[in-house]
Formats: sequence, structure tokens, C-alpha cells
Amino acid sequence: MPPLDMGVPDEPLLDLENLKVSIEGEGPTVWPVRGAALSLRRGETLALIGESGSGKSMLGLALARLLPEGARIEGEARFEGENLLAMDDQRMSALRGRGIAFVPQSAGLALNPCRRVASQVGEVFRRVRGMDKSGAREEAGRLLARLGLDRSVQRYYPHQLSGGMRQRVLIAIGLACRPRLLIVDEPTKGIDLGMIGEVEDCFRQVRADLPDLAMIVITHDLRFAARIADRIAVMYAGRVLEEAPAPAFFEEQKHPYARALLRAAPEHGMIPIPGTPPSMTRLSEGCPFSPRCPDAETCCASEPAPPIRIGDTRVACRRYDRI
Amino acid sequence: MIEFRDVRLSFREGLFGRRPVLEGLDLTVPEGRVIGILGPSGSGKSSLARILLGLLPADSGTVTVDGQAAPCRAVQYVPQHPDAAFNPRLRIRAAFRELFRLHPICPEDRRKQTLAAVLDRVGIDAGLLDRYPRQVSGGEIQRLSLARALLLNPRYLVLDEATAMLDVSIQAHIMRLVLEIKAERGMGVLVITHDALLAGAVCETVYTLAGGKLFQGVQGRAG
Repeated sequence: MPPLDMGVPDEPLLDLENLKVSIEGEGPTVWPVRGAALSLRRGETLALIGESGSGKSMLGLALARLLPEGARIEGEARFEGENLLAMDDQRMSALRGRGIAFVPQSAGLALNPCRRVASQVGEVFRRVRGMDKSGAREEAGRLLARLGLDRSVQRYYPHQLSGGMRQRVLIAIGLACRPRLLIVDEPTKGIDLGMIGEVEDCFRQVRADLPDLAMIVITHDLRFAARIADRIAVMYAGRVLEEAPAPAFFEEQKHPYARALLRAAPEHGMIPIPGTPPSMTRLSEGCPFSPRCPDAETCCASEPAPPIRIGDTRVACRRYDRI
Repeated sequence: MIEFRDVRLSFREGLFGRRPVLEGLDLTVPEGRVIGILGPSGSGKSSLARILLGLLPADSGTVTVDGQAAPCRAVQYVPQHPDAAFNPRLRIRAAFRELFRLHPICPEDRRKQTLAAVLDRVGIDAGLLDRYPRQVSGGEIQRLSLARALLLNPRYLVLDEATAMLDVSIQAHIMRLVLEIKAERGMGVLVITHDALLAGAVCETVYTLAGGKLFQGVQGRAG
């Protein structure tokens, strides 16, 4: 197996250009991701936010090449300088877990209900790092303890754990192979507020322990994103409409959609976004938000809005400076 | 109004022990008001709703709805989990048909119009009725749950974490809709949530449930 290319330090760890995911099924082709662009540096935590159906999870799955059958990826995705989309299955499988690890959503469903926590976390150490059973158990215990889980948790079955604890077990499994990029899908979905604090603490601990680890956290929870991320990327209809440092983003959103999304939160007036999200089967050239955008011009619907860089922020809006 | 008086509830724990959940709880939900109950998971918020709906017997105490012992049809419910709201084996139309069969909502020849009017009010396309619950989105299921509750002409509505699984934008749509309908019909609404910001934004009075007791309400932003 060839050694993994570590790239030069200045180069982004992950670079996406015009990434598209299409899924062929019985009906018309569905385009969950349609031209997403992103970049991520070593040690950076990026929160990918947006409504359900905006393509966040599909983008995460595409990066780990774990898409459902019938799915096609196009565009460019470079991880440590290497084209992810051109890798053969063997190379990808060597990278998965060690280079890029994906932590799925619904911690309750993702864990095997019939096996104890120790055996599920330990399996990664045994299979990938070739440890024996007792070594794997020891290592699993250490990792779980770092994430704030008591050693006794190892003996439990998933149904005996709270939502927050299950999420931390999944993160432990994701971290077990020491990946350079960890993608976590909806870590707070269905978890109540008290437990979300535990998940947040767990993320803080991971960042303190592994300063070089880059993370993409897919979430629809804006408050959670604000507390754990360095950068925010807003997805809508399969595109990244705005990407900005977290503090600047929560201070002032540049894209009209990002502004509308924040205004829908209870703390910002709970103003619903008028209209409905666009169909995933029809592709339009223009800005996908234009039919719902209060500031749209006629050309917004028909002409593409390439991302514009303003300082550290990238925004895909033709009118950002005039609003 | 809905009145809880000295309601106590405990669950069995271990072989002989009992864990108290509600310890002499008093609560009043007046008609036309939005009352919020805040509390972490396991604090007994949902148990309180289940007692009101007759799904869980209290150890002691009384719960009345406009002077009548609960449960009664005047109180309707929108649950948290879309999976819990509709029978997964029935098309949504069949679930509504069942409701019309079980309750004297309107004369048989007016059922179609009554259903169409309520679906229109909650912003649901009638085409969704031919789908199964798994084929509609979380926001649509919550609108359908709300439509089902409204068909029974409730004087009180209980929302048990009804928007906890939804995006902020859909949550805003649903909560705005509930507040509009509340204003039109003068219903009392009991909002059970763990989200203090949501409770503050939609409720007139918010109580906190902790250690089996309700703590004095704070005025919400809507109050």
C-alpha cells in the first residue's frame, strides 16, 4: 500500500470545487449536491449548516465515498492534494477511517444494539490497528474516558445509554483510527438540551487533544454550530451559499438565505422563510434561493452567482454589496 | 381552564423502590393563553402531558378540564416524534377516515369539505393524503398532526416537543401557525419543551419543572 501523501502544510487539507452528487432511481434523477465548493485546513472545525434536504449529509457521505447505490459524484474533491474521486476502491478503503472518518447520524441506529460498547469501540482497534482483545479493550477504555465516559460504560449495551452518551461512543469509534478529517453528521439531532452540553464538551476535548484534526460537523442546530465551529458554511439546495469565520458569520450574514435562516431561530424573532425549498430534480443555472429571496433581481434566477471573496468570507450572491 | 391539583406520580425503581417524578404539582392553563413547561429530559414534562391525556394514571391528585375530569376531547395533542403521530401501516387518508368514524365531527356528507378546510388552514396539499407517513417530511407530519387535533375542535392543545426534531425555519412556520390558530379560536396551549429560547419566544408564561415541582413562571417574550 503506498504511503498517504501528507501534502504541504500550507495547502488546504480538503478542497472541493463544483462538487455534484446525482442519484438515479425509478423517477427523475435527484441532485442533492449541485456544485458545492469548500476548503478546510488542518485543525479547523467547519460547521455545515442548512435545512433538511439541503444536501449536507450527502456532501459528507460523498467525501467518505459512502453514497447509496446509483449515486454519481462529479467535480473536484482533493484531500491532502489527492483527488478523492479518482481513487480506486482499495485506496479509498485504506483512507476511510484513517484519513477521513465519517460518524453517521442517529446514534441510536448506528450502533449495533446486540453488542456492548467495549466490543464496538474495540473492534476498530483490533481490525485496523491489529491489537489483541485485551489491548483493544484497554485502548477503547482510555479513549472513552477522554471523551468523558466512565469506564463502566464499556459494559453497557447502546440502549442503556443516553443520547449524548451514544453520540460520544460513535465519536470514539470515528477517532479510533486517528483520522486527519472527522465528518460528524448531526451529532445533536434528537438529543435534549442538557445532553447537547455533553456533546459540546466532548467536541472541545477532542479539539484540545488533537489540535491537527480537522472536523466537518453537519448540523441544523445553529446554536451548537456557533459554539463549536471555527468556520460556518451554509448549504442550500446542494450549494454552499456562504462560508465565513464563525464569529463574523453570527455577527453579520452576507447571503440573504443565511440571514433568513438565522431570523427563523426563536432568539431572532422566529420569522419563517417564505415559500418552499426548490425541487431536487430540476437544476437551474441561477441562484437556488432567488424564488424566495426578498432582494432578488430578475437576473438572479437565470444567471449563476459565482462565489465572491470578501476578506475571509465567500458568498455566492450577485447582490450582496447592494443589500 | 385546565387545572392540575396536588398531582403526584412516581415510577417503580429496582425491586421495592419508587422514584418520585411529580411531587404535588399544581398548574393552571387558562383558555386563550400559551403556557410553557420547561425542563430537562427525565424531569417529568411528558409525564405531565400523558396524565392530562389519560395515557398515564397519576398516583394521586386531580386534573380537570373546565371543571370536568380529564381526559376529555377538549384537549388534543401533537407529539414529538413523527413516528408516534400516525399509524405507519395506514395511508394518511385512512388515518383521517378513522378519526371521522370514531368521533362525531360532522355529518357524513360534509366530511370531505371539513377535512379540506382544515388541511387548507394548516397549509397541507390534499395530495399528501394518499401517502404513507414515512413518505412525508417531518414538518408535514407535524402539520398533519395539528390538522388532526384541530378537527376535534379542541379548547386546549398540548404540544409535546412538537418541533424538537425540525429545522429552525420549519419550527418557525409551525409555531407561527399554532399561534395564529390559537388567536382565531381562543384555545389554551400547553407547550412542553426543553428549549428555553423557544418557550420564551412563544409562551406568555413559562414554568420550569425540576425535582418534581413547578417553579414560578417567568413572563415570556410573547406575554
